[in-house]
Amino acid sequence: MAKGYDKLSLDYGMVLDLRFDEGSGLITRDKAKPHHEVDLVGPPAWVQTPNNVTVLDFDGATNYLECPEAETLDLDFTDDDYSIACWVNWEDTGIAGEIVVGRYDLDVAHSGWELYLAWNGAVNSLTLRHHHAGTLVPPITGNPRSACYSVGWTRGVWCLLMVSRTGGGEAIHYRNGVALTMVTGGLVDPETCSEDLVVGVRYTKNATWYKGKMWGLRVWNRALSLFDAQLMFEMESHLFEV
Amino acid sequence: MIDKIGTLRWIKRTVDQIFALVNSILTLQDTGGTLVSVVAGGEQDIYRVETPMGVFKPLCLKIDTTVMAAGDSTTIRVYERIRSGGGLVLSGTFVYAGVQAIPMKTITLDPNRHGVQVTLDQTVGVTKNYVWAVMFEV
Repeated sequence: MAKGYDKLSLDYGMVLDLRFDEGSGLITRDKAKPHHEVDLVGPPAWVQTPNNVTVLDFDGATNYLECPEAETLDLDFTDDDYSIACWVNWEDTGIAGEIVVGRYDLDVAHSGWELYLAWNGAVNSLTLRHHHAGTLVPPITGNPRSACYSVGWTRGVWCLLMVSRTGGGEAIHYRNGVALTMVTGGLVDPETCSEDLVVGVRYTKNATWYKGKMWGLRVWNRALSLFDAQLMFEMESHLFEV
Repeated sequence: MIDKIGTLRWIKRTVDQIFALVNSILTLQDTGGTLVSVVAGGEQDIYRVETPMGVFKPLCLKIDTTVMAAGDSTTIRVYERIRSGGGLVLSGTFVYAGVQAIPMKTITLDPNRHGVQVTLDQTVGVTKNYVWAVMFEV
């Protein structure tokens, strides 16, 4: 007996599903219907955990993933709902700010969205940012830079991160299936973006490196619920002994 | 109180067992892409799973050879690993030459636990874009 991928509630609306099960090579393939072909640059190392999960290990200096802008138009969320989930075990690069995934740039008209981890002293945070190029200081013209963040993202341990955003509204962060207290000034909708999808690096592909391990990067074109977050954690936590 | 805690633990264990059973049911899914062949460049990976998380069930690889023209020759090879730490061993070779009367090719893949690899080797002709997909249960 087999279940059908598209019939599973968690897989509904999945537009990117990277499980990193190739274990070799310079391409990782999308198990979601769009079949995005994602290139490894650097490349990150294929590593097998004690539980036989193949993950990618980023060195925090030269390793990242990319998928061309033209092939990721379905990830160009503007006023849409969307969600992102990923298992991370991140480390200190010595420079605050490590991009998990994004499709963004600093052009005011095409800012897109980005998700990054950052540390500042003892505070480890996860931030979803829209309209990065927006102004911060009054008088603000056009859309301001906007973001929402949560704290307590401990480095050096596996955890399941998830953000779920309702178009036109706020995003909710989840860690290991638990909804977190958010800090936000209000998320504006991201503009359309003409940059590549990047994982583990800034949109310019030369800074804000992610360091550490990563598995199961997924993106949905819908807002996931608390139940979805709990279900995902229950189904996968044993893989990382969390 | 102890009875209630014991009951909750029993429910938790039962739920965990149900989750384990549900997780163990294989899920039918697919992946795919477009491979740009390198003529006489040796074997190129189409599909590769080095170390599956557990028992998984590749079903078939579909590859569209509509792009092939007279003078092209392309070989697809399947390799399997059947024990932990073992090598990927050749288990099938499929050679296609020239224009194909039935362009959509289906190569059957067997259940596997330790690794599978499918490669394309265009030995003669002009570089082509081969569209492919793999169906598998995991």
